[in-house]
Amino acid sequence: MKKSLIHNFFIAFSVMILTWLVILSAEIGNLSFCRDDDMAYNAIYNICIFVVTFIFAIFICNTDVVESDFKFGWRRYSMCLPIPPIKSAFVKTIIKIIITLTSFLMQILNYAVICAVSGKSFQISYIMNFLLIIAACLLSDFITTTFMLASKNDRAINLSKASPIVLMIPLLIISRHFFVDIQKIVATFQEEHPDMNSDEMAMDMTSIMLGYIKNTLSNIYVFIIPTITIIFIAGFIINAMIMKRRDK
Amino acid sequence: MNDYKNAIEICGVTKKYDGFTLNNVSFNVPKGSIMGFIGQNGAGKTTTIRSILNIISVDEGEIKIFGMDYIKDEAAIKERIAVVFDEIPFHDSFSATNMAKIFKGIYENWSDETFLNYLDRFQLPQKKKIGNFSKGMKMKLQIACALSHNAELLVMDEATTGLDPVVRSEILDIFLEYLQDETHSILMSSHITSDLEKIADNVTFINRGEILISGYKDKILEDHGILKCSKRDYRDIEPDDFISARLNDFGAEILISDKKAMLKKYSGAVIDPVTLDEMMLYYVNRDKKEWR
Repeated sequence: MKKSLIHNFFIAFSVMILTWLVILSAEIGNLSFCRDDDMAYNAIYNICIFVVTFIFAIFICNTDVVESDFKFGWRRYSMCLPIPPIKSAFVKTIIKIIITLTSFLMQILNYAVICAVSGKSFQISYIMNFLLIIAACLLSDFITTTFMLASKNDRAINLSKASPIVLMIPLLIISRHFFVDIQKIVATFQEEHPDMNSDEMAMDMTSIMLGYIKNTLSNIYVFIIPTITIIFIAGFIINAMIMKRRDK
Repeated sequence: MNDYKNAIEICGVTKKYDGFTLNNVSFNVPKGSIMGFIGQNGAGKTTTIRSILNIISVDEGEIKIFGMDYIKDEAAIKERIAVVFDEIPFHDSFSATNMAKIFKGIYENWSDETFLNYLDRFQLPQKKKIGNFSKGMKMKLQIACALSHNAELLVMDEATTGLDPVVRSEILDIFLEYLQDETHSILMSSHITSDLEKIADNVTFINRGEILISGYKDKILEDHGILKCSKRDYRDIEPDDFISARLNDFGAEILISDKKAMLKKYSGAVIDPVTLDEMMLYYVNRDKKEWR
């Protein structure tokens, strides 16, 4: 697992360097024609930031380790070892925290370099978006790992990989609320600007919707750190309980 | 370290599943001995061993290891025992060196020197991935890991199943060496009774979740025997005097559990020695009483 982690980290780091070269090219290289088009330049800027963000966020998910433990019989063998369940759960949680922090720091490093190259200012909203993505990955990983640890056979292990689908339920509820708000905004905008042509309307609507999304996200930011903390604590408790549990 | 008479004491252990019950299992593994735990496939050997190791919970009964309660003193007990399963539980991508590092962090008494000696003796590569090992090599690695932290008790569940006779013989020699230290004990489950006949001091026979016999192997083999007689003579033998009888066209072969008593009661009877294998066969058919 260590070698595979280092190998994947090396690939992620290479992608990060590549994005730096892309933004550098947008500044002074072959892509510098984009500077004349704000939309195109912003797109490159955001792609360079968020591609790396997602790649490093994926490191947080380690369900393949849990699956391997079950597949090779290590989980059963580990019950014969003199390792108290609390200690085992504690070590796993610490490793998870270290991986999460490392991913987060790499995301910040990438963002800092891209800001430095592009001359744009460092914005806290981007950092909060990184944390939001990390929180989503941690939540998905927590749900999958919990189901996997509770599984007793291969079929259950495979089914548990689909368990993050439970996150769709709150997301569907939130998106319904989101679409209702968007519909109201569109209706109000159309009433206020009856003579606007469709192209101008589309541009302005896009800006309004982006503003709405930013505003909505900023309301969520305050919950991110507590959510991440709760996930780590819950993960520790679930791990300890399952390690202590004996097969029936 | 505490003083104890029996490495393992199991008393009245019961575990119920749908379609199978481990019923009132009781036996002891004396300190410094090898206990051969024999039975057919599905007899309850693995369930009993998992109960001892606290991998599964039991419905009733008491288990003591080194004289200590197997749940209350679990961590202290597990520091002193080693377990070998029939399938190697190590990840394919690890090597022997990786496993040594892992176990060094787990066991206080882990010895790298002992481990390397076993690797050398078993001719196992240090850096090759376990996924590329043969079955025999994997078992040898598991045994090397088990014997490298000065464990007092070795618990093995079908560890020699599927291995060729050469590898099995090598492994059995290692176990005999391990027992040179009188504080070491082994509980070894197997359905390959020939292995246990070679090395076991004690034998416990389990069938359909119940213990049928438990005691010194030599005494059990001495007490039991196969009485061969004609069908006419067979009819004269009382059913309570034998375990089961195998009938053929020429006569009957009967397993008896008390040779001396039989010779006294049926003078002139020809009683041949019996192997554990044969005993298992006859005991498994004891409900039928007569079989072919």
